[in-house]
Amino acid sequence: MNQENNNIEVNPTAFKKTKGFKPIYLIILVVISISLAIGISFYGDTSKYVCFAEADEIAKDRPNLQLHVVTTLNKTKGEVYNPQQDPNYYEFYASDTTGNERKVIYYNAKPQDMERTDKVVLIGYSRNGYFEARDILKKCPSKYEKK
Amino acid sequence: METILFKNEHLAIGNFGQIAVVIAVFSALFSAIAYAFSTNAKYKDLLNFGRLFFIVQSIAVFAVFITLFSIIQNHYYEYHYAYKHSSNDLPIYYMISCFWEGQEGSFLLWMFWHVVLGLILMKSAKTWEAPVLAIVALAQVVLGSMLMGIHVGDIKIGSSPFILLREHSPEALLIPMLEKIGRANYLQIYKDGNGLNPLLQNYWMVIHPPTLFLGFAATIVPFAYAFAGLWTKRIKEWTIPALPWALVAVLVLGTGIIMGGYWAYESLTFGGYWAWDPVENASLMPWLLIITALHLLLINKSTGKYPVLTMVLTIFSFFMVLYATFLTRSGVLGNASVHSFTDLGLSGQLLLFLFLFIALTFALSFKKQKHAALFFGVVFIILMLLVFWPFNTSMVTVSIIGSVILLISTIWFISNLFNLHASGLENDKAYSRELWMLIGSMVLLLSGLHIITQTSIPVFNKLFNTSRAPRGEDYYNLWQMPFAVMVVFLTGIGQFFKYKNSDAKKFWEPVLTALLISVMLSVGALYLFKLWDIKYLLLLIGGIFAIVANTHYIRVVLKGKIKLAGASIAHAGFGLMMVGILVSSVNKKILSDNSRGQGFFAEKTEDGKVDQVSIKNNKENILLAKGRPIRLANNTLEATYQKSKEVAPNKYFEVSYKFFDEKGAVKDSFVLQPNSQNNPKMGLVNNPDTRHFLTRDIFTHITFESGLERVEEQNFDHFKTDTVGIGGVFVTEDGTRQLTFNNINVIEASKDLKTLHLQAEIIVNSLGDTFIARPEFISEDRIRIKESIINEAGIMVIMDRIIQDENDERNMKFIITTATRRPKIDYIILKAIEFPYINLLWGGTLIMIFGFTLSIFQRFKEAKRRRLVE
Repeated sequence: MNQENNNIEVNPTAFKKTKGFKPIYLIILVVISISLAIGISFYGDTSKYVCFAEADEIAKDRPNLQLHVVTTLNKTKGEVYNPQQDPNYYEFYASDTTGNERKVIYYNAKPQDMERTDKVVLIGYSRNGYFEARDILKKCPSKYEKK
Repeated sequence: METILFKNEHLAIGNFGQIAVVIAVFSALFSAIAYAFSTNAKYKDLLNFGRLFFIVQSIAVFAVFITLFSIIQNHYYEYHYAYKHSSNDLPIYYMISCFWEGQEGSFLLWMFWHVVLGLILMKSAKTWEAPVLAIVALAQVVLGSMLMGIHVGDIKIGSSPFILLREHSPEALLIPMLEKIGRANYLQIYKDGNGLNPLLQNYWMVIHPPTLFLGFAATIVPFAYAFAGLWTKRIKEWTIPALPWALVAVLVLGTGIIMGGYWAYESLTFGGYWAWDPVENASLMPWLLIITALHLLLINKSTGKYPVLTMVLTIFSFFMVLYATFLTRSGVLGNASVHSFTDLGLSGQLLLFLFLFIALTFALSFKKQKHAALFFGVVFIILMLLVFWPFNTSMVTVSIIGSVILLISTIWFISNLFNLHASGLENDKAYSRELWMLIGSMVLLLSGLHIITQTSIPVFNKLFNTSRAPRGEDYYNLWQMPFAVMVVFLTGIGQFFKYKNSDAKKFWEPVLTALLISVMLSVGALYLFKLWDIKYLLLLIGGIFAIVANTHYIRVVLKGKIKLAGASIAHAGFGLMMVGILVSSVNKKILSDNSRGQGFFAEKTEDGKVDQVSIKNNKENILLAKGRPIRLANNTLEATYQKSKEVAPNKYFEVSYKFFDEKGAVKDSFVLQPNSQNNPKMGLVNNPDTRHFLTRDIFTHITFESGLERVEEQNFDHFKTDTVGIGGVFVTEDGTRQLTFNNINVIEASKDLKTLHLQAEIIVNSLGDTFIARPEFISEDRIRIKESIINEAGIMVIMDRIIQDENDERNMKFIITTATRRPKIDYIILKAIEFPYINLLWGGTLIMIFGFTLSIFQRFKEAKRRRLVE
């Protein structure tokens, strides 16, 4: 018990020892404010996982906000990739989690292994009548496990 | 069900391995208990038991290690691990990669490093041995339990690497082929394994995981010293032995991360070394914390200041390793990462691991054992209850309770530490090294905090039922660049300060000199690197300043004593790295920039403005038809797809590059051979090829090739009939091919012309290429026509009839029918990227590693000296 009392008494003296400006206060202040900024940025303008219908809504106000849509490929609908015509145009159909189907255009080469994939996460923008994917994250069961 | 006696299985070796795992776990447990008790003077004699059990545990871990390796090496595909991760055709060095491709193998690797570190500590830790090794042994218990694969009721403890294929997937025995030869002979069918993913068949993958895991494992040592300091109430002394080990962790983990980046650059196709993927971030997070802890340990060693922060950071860097492990292995990242993780159902166990260590450490901050035990019991039980929540409450409530408890305990822990250390806020002079080192450390910490919060988005989603998506690369770069700028400037000035207080004049003179030189060099660098964007100017100057100032420090203050210059060399290396990262990523150039095709022109939004987003459309792939040179990158480069060759299992595509200078003369000429592997089990994997020059790298990979086109033989279409004479020119119906009737050859003709066999020679011009079509006309007892098909031009030419002029026999007209379809050509779709001055990054890395290594030697020597003095 005695020991504890001693310690509590030491603390205030550490504060009293010096007078005037302490750089450490400034550091603490800056660290706290940047941490707050990090926190605010976390809640700020972040991309979201949405379905196609929500993506359409968001695109009306903020066409430049990147959105993520978890989808299942619709392989029966067929895909378009004619590299001889345009190696940077790949078109396919995918359904979101609500079952809503949408045409997807990917202005890039057809990603390797699309045949072996069922579920993909599309990252991009809702456009007039189609979804423009900037990135396609594949989830194939066979993909490697890093580490 | 009848019991089948399976033939040709090697069950003994698996049983041996399984028993070794159990022995390892229990001997580690006994060792931890014995060591723990021996910290108390009353039970001093138990120390020898602790050692004994630790050695038994070490032998058992080695045994497991060797057993698993021989199962892979001997192709015992009755074991699921061997079947899933290896195959017969792999050379021995890739067998090693198979070993740690699976989660179980990587846990084993981690345990292996703990054993090595534990044995070193047993020899060297002296008075710290008991508490430090108790912690290492405890970690071994938890890690070992991940490999047990035992079911207790419904709960699965661990996932065994020695599980048999038929146990793991009973459906393997149900395939129809086995009906004939009998299930007992199933191994006659499972003669080859799934193989190692082609992406991992790279020499970097042999050494990157062990290095990374040694880095992870090494963070336990400084943590164990901090923990031991709390435990045995030597709350000041623990920093001395912990310091060199923190350096080891920083060096090894950092090297492991960079190796991973280099592997990604060399063998993945995303075109870079870092993508801010959650898995990459997961390894960076603990590194940023441990390097912050390292700087505080250094301050603390020289001034005794900030003991609480030092302890908290050292402890949390280990927690961060555990948290990162949880992130990458629990499946929580799900949709957030391109790397997919098989969830082995270990997430509960991983959380247990994390919370056990957190609760134990926090409890030790109480002065009274009773309070400590109470705290540990209550907090640990509540947290575990929350993880395995048996009641039907909403997840969000549970998460909020859990987070609040964690937060309160953390604050409580820190305030306990303040009490223990009898420490308040210290006073630092403006010209003191500790102040500026602290500022630098805080910048590193904030940079880490930022990455941690963003990478944890999937965790927050899970906890609070939200649907935020992970951030992209641009966002991370935007936030991390200011941190990087501050860090490079601080590494430049830091060492010119002296601890406690320094002379202002002695500080400003060398710093201003260095700054002046750096600004001048930066002007040169701007021209050299063509880095015209003002945004990057500060980082460029800062990076150069870090190099110049630290070199200046070695020359002027250290008088060129390299032995003492570890920190300065590491700092200079870091500066160079930053310059390298800046230049190679800002000026990264897509050489295969394609200005053709659809969607290239910007779209207009409804109100008629140019849609900024659509301008940035990727047009990064270009088609190269075999043998036809294509000019790229503003006419400075000519790329030609020469030929392909198959070297099973890879298909190599030879692409020749010719770079031209301004006068049009060939500057560089070389051939790259990107390949693709159509792995029957893992699908198509494209591997890049890179040409390294001193000042730039040319990186290239294919994204598609004609062989992959699964076009069903298309029908001919667009029929058109022309009547032409010799020399006549005509076009196909769609106008895309031009034909010239060049000649007619008589192959066979009887005198009475009853038999007539003619062959036309028609030149086809299709998309710049010339082909010759030879349709035939045969008239015997009946007329037969033989069409000529040119796949490469996608054309069919038929000679239907021959009309002879009645007046002039020599004047013949031919009725020719043409039809077209898409031409079938041999082509590749290629992506080529130039990374300028990327060697600055690798060079900087090597220099930094060299600096850290020097420091480690220096610090271990120093710690030893200090111990001798004491």
